[in-house]
Amino acid sequence: MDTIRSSARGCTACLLLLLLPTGIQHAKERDRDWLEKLNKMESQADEARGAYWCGRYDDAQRQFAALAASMHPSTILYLNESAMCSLAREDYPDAERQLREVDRLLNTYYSEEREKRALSVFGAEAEKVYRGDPYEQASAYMLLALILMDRGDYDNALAACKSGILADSDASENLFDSDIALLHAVEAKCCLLRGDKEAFSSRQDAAAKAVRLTSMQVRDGFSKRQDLLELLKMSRSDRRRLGEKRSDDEIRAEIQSLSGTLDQQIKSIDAATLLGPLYSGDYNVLILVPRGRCARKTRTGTDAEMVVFREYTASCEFPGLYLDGQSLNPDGVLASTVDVDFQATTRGGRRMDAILRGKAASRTTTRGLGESLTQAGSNVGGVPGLGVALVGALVQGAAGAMTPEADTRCWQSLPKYYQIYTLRLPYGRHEVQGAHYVYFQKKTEFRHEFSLVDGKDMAVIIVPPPLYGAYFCAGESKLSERDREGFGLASTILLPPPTGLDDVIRIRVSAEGVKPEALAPDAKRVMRSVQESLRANKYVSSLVWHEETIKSRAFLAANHRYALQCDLGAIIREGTRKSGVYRTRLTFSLIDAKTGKTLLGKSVEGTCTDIASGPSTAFYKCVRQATEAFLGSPDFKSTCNTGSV
Amino acid sequence: MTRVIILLLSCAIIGSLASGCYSPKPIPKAYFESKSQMSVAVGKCPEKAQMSDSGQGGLLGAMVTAGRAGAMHEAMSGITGDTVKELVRQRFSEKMEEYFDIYDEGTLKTVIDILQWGWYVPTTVAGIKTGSYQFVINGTVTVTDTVQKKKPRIANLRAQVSETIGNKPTAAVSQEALLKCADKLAVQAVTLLVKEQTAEPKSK
Repeated sequence: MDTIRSSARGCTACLLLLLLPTGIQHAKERDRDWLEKLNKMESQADEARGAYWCGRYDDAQRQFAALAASMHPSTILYLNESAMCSLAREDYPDAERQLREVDRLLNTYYSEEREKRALSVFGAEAEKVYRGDPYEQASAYMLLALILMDRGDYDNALAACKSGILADSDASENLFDSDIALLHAVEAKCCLLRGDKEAFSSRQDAAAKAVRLTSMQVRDGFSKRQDLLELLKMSRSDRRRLGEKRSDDEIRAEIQSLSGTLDQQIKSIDAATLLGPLYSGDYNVLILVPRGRCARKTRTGTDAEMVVFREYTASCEFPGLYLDGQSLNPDGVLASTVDVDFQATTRGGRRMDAILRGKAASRTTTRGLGESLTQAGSNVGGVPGLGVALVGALVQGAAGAMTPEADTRCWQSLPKYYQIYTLRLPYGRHEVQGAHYVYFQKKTEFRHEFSLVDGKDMAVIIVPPPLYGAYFCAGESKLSERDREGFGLASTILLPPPTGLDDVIRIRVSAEGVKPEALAPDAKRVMRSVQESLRANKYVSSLVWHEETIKSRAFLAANHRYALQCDLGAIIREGTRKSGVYRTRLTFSLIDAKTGKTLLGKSVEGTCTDIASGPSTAFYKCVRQATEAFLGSPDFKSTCNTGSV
Repeated sequence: MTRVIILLLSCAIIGSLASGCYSPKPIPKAYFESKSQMSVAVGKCPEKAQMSDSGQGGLLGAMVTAGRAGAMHEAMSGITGDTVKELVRQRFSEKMEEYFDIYDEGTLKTVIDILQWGWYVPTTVAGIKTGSYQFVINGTVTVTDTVQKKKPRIANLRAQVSETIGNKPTAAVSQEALLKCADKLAVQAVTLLVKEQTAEPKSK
């Protein structure tokens, strides 16, 4: 009998050992399929985002629309991004249609089964249906409210504002009811236009409160207080791991003292003055100017289980804006009214993050147990030891099968912040026009006509986004005296950084069987190469870096007549290692620095047959050759002679 | 027999001394004061990304890891030693620019040798994966004074950096990890090399 029982026990153990990995394998395969599909879609979306930030809105919208055409976990995300393309194309009805669809999906399409799977230990978080962080949902409703307001549908605009406020009001500790001042201000305006003065007054106060709570003076204090509140919620072991030695009472005392200082600071902020007409409601035109690019999510942590926001730090030009032919002054605008980056990065204690922390902990514990078993098995030795070691290895494998990687899908076509103009214009037809610059070159122009019929009429203009994708360089780089040769002389040609580059560029390989290649271009080296060619052709030139050009374009243009800009088109490799060639297409533009007008634009190809030296060497040889060809062209010489460079 | 034992012992002592005495050697202070010019180049660098594991799985583990390498190479398609070399050179030069003028040629010559770049996967018995993939770069940095005839090597160090890329890394994630690793390597190397500099960095 005993023999039968022990055999049965053995069989059960063997069965469990066999089934456990099979179960893991099955779960892993399902996860892998879903993740592969989602990753593929995200990769396509990245291409569309690239087109969007380079001003190719039609191309971007076509790709986003294709991605959002079917129902899958990322549909809402791609609808949001497609709506941004419609807004950039000034197709407000189409943007409204898509944002209404987002609202419908947020309220109805909610798969509990997928949510449960994300909450289970096995399963990737990315499988979860994308609904967006509170700041993303609030942004969608804010844009919908503005479009509806422009159309004169104030009832629905009010409803959209309320939905946005609701979506944004779940910040940790409920410190902020909703801190997007524009949502409250637009809600207040809608109430005013509907004749509800009581509601207008209360919403006016809410807008002022949001401005006070998000003003620069108190941001650090608030952040510190949130950290302390988070610390209070932590277990002792977690606090010890962070090196935190303060007791609960000490932390509470610090929170109290900090709260006192914060209250005083908040009281001193004159929100009504800061908001201006947005507070009084005395405006009938709202112009939103998107600036920069919103931060994106990336993974961090030992198991890539945590989300961090990576900011885009490079600044970009303010578009030249004109209202009825008069220049709109960028000063005196309350820029912090919709600070998307601030909204994105100050959402501490998100529910999903907490679950991820739990998963990472579970994985570490499981792995530790497995390691101990494997170690014990190795120490025991023999057949029993081998068995224990194998069980330990399986446990460690199970730990490896858990997928705590954080979901990094996020709305990447939002700007860093919106600058807002509030104006009261007389009835009649009006026109807002402007242009986006890339360094000295005027790239795209836009024009928006609108008419104001009566006292209840409102116009909302959302300016197309800056061409952020054209820029490659961020921050400042050190330039030598040789690089700055001739700086300040009117005849010197300014050389801003090249555009169209990326950290890594894939080279198109046309021959079959040749392995793909990539290149890491060096902007400064390209600039120096162009300068060398100019020098050889007896032209004086000076390099100017990104930040300097953005901040002092007008000053530089006043002191220099020309700028030479270079944009990378494509790099192709043809043929084999023995008889191949690298081809690099560059577009050179000689710009009138003052007007931004392109005096001469030419696409030139540089070739290099030295395949053995590798793509980097070939690329710089191609750049040099293409520059020489451009400078040697009769067009360049005649333009320069006419303009007497 | 005694001779063999003595020979083996001597080898072991020399080996342990040679490997155990490593410590990074920063650039001497005098070079910062004389505002020397520096050139930066990348010497050795494997042409392809390499896959490594914890090494506990024996032959079976090595085979399993080699099997994983195929899919990982696909994720990094196009990125070769040439790309990595150029990236590391750029990031190192950017960081070093705060302390020295970087030109194509200079009194100081920095050579970065990349010994390994690719992926690391933590494994146990029989090559069972126990954690997330990591992207790793490790190498050495040597600074020489081209004017000095005797002992031209003035500074050297080893650097190793890694970045977790999760369980199912995509091409985009791998590429981002490569960029982060190049940044980390540059920061680590420059921090150690300029350790002896007491004055503030030159203004940009």
